[in-house]
Amino acid sequence: MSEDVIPLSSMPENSKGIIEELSGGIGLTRRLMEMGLVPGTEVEVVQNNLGPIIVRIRGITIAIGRGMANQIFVRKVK
Amino acid sequence: MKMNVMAYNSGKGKENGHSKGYDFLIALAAQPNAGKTTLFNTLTGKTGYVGNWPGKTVERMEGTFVHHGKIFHVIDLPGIYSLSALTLEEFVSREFIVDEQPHAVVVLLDAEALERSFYFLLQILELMGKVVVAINKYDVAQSKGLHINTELLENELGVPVVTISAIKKTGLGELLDRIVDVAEGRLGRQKEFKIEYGPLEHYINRIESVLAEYKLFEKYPRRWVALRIIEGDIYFIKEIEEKNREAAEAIVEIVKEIKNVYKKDPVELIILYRYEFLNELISKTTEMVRISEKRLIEKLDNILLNPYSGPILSSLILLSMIFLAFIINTGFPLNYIFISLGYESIAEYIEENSLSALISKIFSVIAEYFRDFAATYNIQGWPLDLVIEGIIPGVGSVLTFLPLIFIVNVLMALLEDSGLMSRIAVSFDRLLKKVGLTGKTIFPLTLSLGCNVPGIMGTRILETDEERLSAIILMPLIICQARLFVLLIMVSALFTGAIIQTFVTASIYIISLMLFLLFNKIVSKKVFKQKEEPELIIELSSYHLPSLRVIRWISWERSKSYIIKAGTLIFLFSIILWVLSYFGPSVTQNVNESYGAIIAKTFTPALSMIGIDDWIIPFALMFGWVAKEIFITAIVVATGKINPIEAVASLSLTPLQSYALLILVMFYSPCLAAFVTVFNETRSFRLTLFSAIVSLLIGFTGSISVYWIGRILGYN
Repeated sequence: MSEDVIPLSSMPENSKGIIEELSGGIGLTRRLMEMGLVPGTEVEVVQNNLGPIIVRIRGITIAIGRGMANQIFVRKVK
Repeated sequence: MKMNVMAYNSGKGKENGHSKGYDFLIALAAQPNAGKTTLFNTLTGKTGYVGNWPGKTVERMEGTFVHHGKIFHVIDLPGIYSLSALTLEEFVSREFIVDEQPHAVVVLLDAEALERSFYFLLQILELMGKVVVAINKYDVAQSKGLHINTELLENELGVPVVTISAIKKTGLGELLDRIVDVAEGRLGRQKEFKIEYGPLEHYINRIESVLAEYKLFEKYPRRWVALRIIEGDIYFIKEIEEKNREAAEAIVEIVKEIKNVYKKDPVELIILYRYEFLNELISKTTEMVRISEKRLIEKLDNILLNPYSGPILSSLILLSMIFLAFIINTGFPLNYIFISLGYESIAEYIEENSLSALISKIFSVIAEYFRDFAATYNIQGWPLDLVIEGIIPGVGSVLTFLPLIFIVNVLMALLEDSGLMSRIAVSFDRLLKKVGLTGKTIFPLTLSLGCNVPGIMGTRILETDEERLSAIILMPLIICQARLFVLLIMVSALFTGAIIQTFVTASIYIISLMLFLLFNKIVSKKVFKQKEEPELIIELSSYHLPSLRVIRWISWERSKSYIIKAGTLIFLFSIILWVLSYFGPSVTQNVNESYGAIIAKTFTPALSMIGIDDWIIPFALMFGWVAKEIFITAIVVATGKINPIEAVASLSLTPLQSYALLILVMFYSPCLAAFVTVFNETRSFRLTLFSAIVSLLIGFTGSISVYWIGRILGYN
């Protein structure tokens, strides 16, 4: 995996990225994908501090627990 | 290959609708937050009612409307994200479509979350073609720059598409016309809707052949079942294993092959292909003109989602909501505030005009009326006593709780419908995570403060089984309003001074919350062996003004189901209580010698551990588990005093005994309705029993520890 690919949880606020891979447990991965977080989709990190990470994707806002955000790998868009 | 398109579009309505009192059976399907409840309510108006799916605990809304002289019966399918059988809601939805074969399925899309809504639509289209697509909130999305070419979309999908606003009631006429067109077969897909799954097609075909060979699942479209199996649908896989070993082995082999070739869970491939399909579809049929604007109200998110101000503001919102409900219902804590300020007359006025006081007043007037009536006509004997002491207070205690539950439901519906609730869940996530729960639990927890029954049912929104079961089992530790009612009477009767009274009342709530959190950590880790911390996934829908119509409707429906479920039980057991306290082996009609008292007396030794050796308290506890407020009713009956506060005060307990007793009464058992609900939701007698035992142990050990620590410290 190249250096540009980082976990969603380490993306700074207001940055954008393209989802590369979801590597969490099957059930949760599936839920995320059904909500639209599939590889190739653009995500915008709205908030990333202590609590759940808040992202905008496909026009909706979703809060995702940190543990799960660690398992979502994103390629940063410059 | 031979296709079973028969199963794809046989939607002619299972039976002739006329025999059931309608012309067309219509199902309403959508993802959460699309505005389905509003649309359902707009269409069916006052005819809507809540039922249950046959044999399931999932609620189902039904209603009727008439258009151009035809009667439409509408079933509101639960709001779900997909048609996989991951949850009960998803399972009942798809079984309904397959088994009942509605004349048309209206799929409601959210114009503000178009891509995700489309994902759901594609799944429905793969299952059946008698679909009308209604794009809701189009006006709002349009103002944000979205344009949809509905004609092109109709051509691509093969089903009619209309744009509507369920709130503003626009586009509904056209929607109804299209429903008739589809129901009567003029519009809608005849041929199966197919998405290309690329290299997976080969495997889909192979599974289809296996299904055809063994004649499995004939009522579903075969391709659809094949896709479900590749997605790992537990329902189908289990069914095949039970029905046909050979077929099961062949299918497992095919799925294994996909996993080996692609090194991925096949479900991910399927979801990917679907999104690829819909990305293309959307870019072809819609145009987004970017209008950048940060609305003022969105700035609220900066405060609510901030890790520091968020939890504070969220707590304030919930607390003020809970206090508002409490004040309207019982006058507490406003009455204590006025007493401590020295305005006793105002406090008294508030208490006398609280809802529960007004209702109990009405029922004592009715009882009085009966007594006078009986005295005038010289009627005597047990039937009269049954009416005055059994039936009237029984109905009274059921009705006292309806407004209490109703108010909490209204306030919760307000939070839900405005989009605030999901933000509150986010802000509580960090705290609740520490005990093995996610922020979503705050929703059932708050409901529980009103009544444990909706609280336990509200745990359905939780993602994992461990999290959900643990929350269900411990939910009875949350002090509901029935217990608040008992608490307030006991505190007023047994403690003096507004400050001490407030302190005692608040301490019980704090203990309750602490116990819930502490035991959740233990139960989720030790009993359910939760390995990973549960993770929050929640959609933050955009803020909007709640629709009063929707709120009134949701809260009324939820409250009504409470009164039917809990009300009948409470009523029944108030009568049994009366019988047990009225009749005894001898005919003296002295409560002291009734059957109830005799049973209670065998339990007195247990209570001597907290220094109480009266038979009245075990007698009251015996009935208090049926419905918590009956604890007070039972004391009233046993002491023969009319005013409940005087009745409790006549037990002459020391402050230490009183506090120990309070702990016991508050925690010793879920009420009967909660007990039944725990069983309904867990479907496990073992877990239900476990829940009751946990409460009993906490109640007794807590109470005994308080008493003996107090004794050691020199109190009595």
